Amino acid sequence: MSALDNRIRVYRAEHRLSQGALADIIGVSRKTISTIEVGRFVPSTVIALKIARHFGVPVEDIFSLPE
Amino acid sequence: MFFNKDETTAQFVDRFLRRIALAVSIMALSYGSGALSHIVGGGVRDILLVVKDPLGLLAAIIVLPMFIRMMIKVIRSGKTSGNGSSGYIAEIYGRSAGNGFAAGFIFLVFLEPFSGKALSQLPPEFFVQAAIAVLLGTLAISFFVLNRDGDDEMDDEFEDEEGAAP
Repeated sequence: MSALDNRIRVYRAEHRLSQGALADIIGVSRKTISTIEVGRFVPSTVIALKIARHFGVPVEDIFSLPE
Repeated sequence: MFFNKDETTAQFVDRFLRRIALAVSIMALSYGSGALSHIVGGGVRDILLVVKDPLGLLAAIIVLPMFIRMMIKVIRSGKTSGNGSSGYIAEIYGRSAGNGFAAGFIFLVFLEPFSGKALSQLPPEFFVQAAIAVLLGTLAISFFVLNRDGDDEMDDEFEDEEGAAP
């Protein structure tokens, strides 16, 4: 079980955005995005806020603690 | 390879950290050779002493070009850090450094009881080189193991289909 659930993949699909494109926008590597998506890496607050800002939603819409 | 205009800063930082880990593993071999040369004798000792210094040089050659490029980037941008330094590779590098420090410390604690008796003939240089070899070796192995676990790039079906624009 991952430490932090996320819906990045859902938002990427809605925005037709590749991992690489999102990574470039946020200023991280593609590997960082892919490892966040699969729950292997818990991002820093700054990265989480940048992702949320890019999709125009509150950060808790994308990231949440597992039930 | 040295000048990749399409490479972002984050990708560059990841590549730089991978290079450092590779150089660290070579330095571990170099220090390990130095430490072993105090234990073994004859032809093997001569080989280890011959191999030790070129390994250090190889590590410098691996890191130096990217280090210079990193310095140029830092000087040009005026920034010393960015998101690239808070990504996945930086995270596992930090974790590996912690593992390396712990292993080096445990190694020294383990050796301490033997230093006055069984290993008393060995010079202090042996203990320093052996501890550094264990520290760097653990760091490198830990990094490669953690990086291997995260190497399975996910299939990205949105990639380049409709363009990157939302």
